Amino acid sequence: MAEERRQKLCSVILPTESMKAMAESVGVGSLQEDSCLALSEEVSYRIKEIAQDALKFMHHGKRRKLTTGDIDHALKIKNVEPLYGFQSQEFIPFRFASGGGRELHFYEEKEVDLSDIINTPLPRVPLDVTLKAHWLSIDGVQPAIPENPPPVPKEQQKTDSTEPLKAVKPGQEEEGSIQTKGQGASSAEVKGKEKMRMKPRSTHELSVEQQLYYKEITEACVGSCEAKRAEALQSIATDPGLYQMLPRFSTFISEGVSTFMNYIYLLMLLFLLASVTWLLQPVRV
Amino acid sequence: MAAVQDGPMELDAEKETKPEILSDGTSNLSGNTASGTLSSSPLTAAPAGGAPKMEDQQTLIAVLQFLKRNKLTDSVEILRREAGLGEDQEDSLATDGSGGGKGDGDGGDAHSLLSRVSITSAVAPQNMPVKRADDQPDVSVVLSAYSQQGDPSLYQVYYSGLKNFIESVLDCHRAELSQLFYPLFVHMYLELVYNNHENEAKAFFEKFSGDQECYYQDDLRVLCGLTKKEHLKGNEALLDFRTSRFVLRISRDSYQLLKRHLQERHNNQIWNIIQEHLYIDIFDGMPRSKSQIDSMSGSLAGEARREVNKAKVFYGLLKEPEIEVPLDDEDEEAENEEGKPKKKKTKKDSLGSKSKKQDPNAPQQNRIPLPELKDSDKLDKIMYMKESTKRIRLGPENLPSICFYTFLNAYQGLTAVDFTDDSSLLAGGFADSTVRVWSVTPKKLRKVKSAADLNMIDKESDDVLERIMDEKTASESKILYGHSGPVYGVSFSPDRNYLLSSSEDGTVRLWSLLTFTCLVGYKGHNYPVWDTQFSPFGYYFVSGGHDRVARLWATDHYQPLRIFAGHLADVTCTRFHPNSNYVATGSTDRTVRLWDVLNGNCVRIFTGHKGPVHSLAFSPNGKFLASGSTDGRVLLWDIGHGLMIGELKGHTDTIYALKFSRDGEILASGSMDNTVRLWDSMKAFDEVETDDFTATTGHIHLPDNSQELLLGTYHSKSTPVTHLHFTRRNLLLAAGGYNSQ
Repeated sequence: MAEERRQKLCSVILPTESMKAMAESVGVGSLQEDSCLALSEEVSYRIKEIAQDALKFMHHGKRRKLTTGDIDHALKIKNVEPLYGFQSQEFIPFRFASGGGRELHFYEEKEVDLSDIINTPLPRVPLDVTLKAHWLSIDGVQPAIPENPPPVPKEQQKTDSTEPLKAVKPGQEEEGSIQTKGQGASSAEVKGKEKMRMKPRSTHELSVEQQLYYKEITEACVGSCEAKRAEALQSIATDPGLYQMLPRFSTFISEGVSTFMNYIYLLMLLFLLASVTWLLQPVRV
Repeated sequence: MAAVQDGPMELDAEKETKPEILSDGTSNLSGNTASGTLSSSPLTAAPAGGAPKMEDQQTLIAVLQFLKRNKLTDSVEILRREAGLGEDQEDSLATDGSGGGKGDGDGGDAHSLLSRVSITSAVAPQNMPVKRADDQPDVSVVLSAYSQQGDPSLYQVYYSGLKNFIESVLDCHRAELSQLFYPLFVHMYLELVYNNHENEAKAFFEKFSGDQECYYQDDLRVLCGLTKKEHLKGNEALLDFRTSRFVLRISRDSYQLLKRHLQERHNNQIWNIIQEHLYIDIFDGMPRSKSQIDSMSGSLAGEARREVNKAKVFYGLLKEPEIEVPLDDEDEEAENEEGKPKKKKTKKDSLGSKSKKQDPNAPQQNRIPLPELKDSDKLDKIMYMKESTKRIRLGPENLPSICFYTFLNAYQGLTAVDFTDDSSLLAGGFADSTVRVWSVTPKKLRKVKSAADLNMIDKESDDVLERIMDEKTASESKILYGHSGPVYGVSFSPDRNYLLSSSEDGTVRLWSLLTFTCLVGYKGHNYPVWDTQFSPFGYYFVSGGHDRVARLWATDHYQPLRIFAGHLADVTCTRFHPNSNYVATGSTDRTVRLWDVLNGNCVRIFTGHKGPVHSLAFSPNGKFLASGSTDGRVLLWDIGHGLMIGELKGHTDTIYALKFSRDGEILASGSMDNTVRLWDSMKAFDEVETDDFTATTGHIHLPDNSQELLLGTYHSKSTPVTHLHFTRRNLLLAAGGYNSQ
């Protein structure tokens, strides 16, 4: 452990080869090993210094990622001329030509047809900054709206979705809590620690119509009538009011898949997977 | 007894330097001009008394050289005659002097001597004005203190000898003496580097860097990059370390133990460092425990000296101006309809009587001249009182609702946010140099009409304020262009007519919210300005930046009224005390300082943060201060006693926003980890027992009760919280820019 830390703190310097390469790129051919070493030490130190200053700009910019802008600003406060030329796409923008005893370097500029430029549609304007308000909490309770993160912690969701049968049903709260205590003590602990004031999970009772609809759809999906199935799939793909029933459908599918997997009932599996693809239509996402 | 010797000497030096600093006549405040700028100047640390005769002569030579260079021949002659020095003698001495520094050029050494001369002003008073021109700490003079050295190969032996000793002492002393490790380590390493023992320095670093406390990791990272003498020049981190003596608080028993050990072993190397570079604050009584020490340490220059936090601070609130609340007929009728007019009246009375009492801890009403209330301000005050009667009383059982304002499509460019006090306007500073103002009420933002149109208006009409506005310009948001770098701080004036913004381009700009144009650009910082804030009474504002000073400005002066200097690194955030007499600043040197606006003195230094401080908040009663840093902890401070009184752990990333509810019961903190957390501040303040002992010694016992104090955690999807604001009715507003990935 201590070893590791020490490793991390040891000063790292650029290899002398890169110094040589850079020297050659500006036309200094023969650089001695000693000067290379001295240079690389100096350069490494300066780079570290600039990186440390750039970090300040990142912190004040309230970001987690260091950008090239931060480095530009760090150079600026060190009174170093900023870096130019990042816009050039190629390393050397010049072209060489010789002929008639003359040698020329020139910028290659292609002829552009103005009418092409005029006729091409304008690129999309980037969206402007907008302000959106939502309730993060109402009287200390976080409402379950799309703007807020899901009220159930991610681990819980994971167990719920991977083992739907074990998911805590409202009626069997007691049993469930014992179960989760056994398996996922850590997640329960985290939850208790953070004192999450989440809305208690409410039972989403389906209306009679929805229950009927659910029954019809599920039967049609795994039933034998091809026309009915097509109709059902069409319906779940386009119906905008399925939001509430989505979890039930997914439970149905996952349970179905696990059941049919056991009996090698491929056709059923195919039907179910078809319903998944339809459910995942972009309308819903 | 380093502590005892140094006290008076430093004070003298301070007195000397004070009058020269900043004698600009722009100050319109009563009292003297800004001072305290040099209180921690490195020059005070240079040897002043007890120098051998040789050094005196060298000093003289240096003065002579300086005078010659500036062609002050008369002075040269006079000085030479008085000192009885011949010309040859001078030359020979000059070469002698330069021989002292190994491999250092003549110029460098003479220069270092020169700058030393500038403090021993008694020798050559005539060169004072010239030298004073640059009061920057001079690197070479600072470093020259490292030139005496022992055998480089023995450094490891010295250090490990001390380490063994400290590890073998009694448990109660070990924690205290362990504080020595870090400063000694740094100074010994720098000494090795300064004297060109690169390999020894590296070996020394590798051997002992792992032993240092984890919260010094950032500094060690900087340090490990320094391997050459040339690197030391112009390195700020080093200057900070060297110019300010690292302060340690050690009990008398532990100190005696250490002293005896070092004397027995004749370990002069370490003893010299302790004498020269450390300040040991010795106290009588029980040694402190490890946790007590850990809670206070972590700052760049050790703990605050005890006497620094002894000055009296008038933390009470100013008396509210008496405003007769006119009985607004319409409103009264409305209340009548609701059927509770009587209740309202009694409430008003109670409010009135409360504000009439004078707080014994409050400063005098005119200690700082404050702007007079305008009619519009009075109207606003009345509105405020009305709103506050409808305020929800918060508490652990009654948590506030939080409304989150998310900036969409900001592309990680949102850098600062502010709300007006009445929560009607919202301003955002962006990395693309713009400032945007939104109206969060249905009332749209309008510009004032052009001058020609204004002429046509009937100025006698009652609704002239309405008539001057140009309906055609009404929109929900306005963009202010003017800065040439990312905007790091924005602040509304209390009357909502102005907006301040501070930017990377080194300026603070004042914008009019009537015309939506820039009125003034305040230049002075020259480096990025990290934060700015208006005084709660308007007119004054404070700014702090990369140049390590905070400045106090008045809107009608283009030069600062006060410069608050003393921080050892960037000033990252600045906040006004509710009574406007004090300013709190947080810094990258991991300290929070409180400054007196009247005389520019630093009256409190709070140490204990383990990372740069990025947010500050005063409690509404002015008694307490909360500060949040990159290490994800909020620390609570009692301003009157100058003590840390609480530590709130829970956040996992930098805390960028802190705010107390209007009555001070709840502290809200917002962080980079996408959460808003609510803390029971009443409980945190109540549980502190400030008996006389803790107050005098400054030793604190912090209960580890963060979990009990945490009232709620609210996650946003992917939006770091940049700003928090309680409306006058105690609804919490949060703001931040959405991160799409």
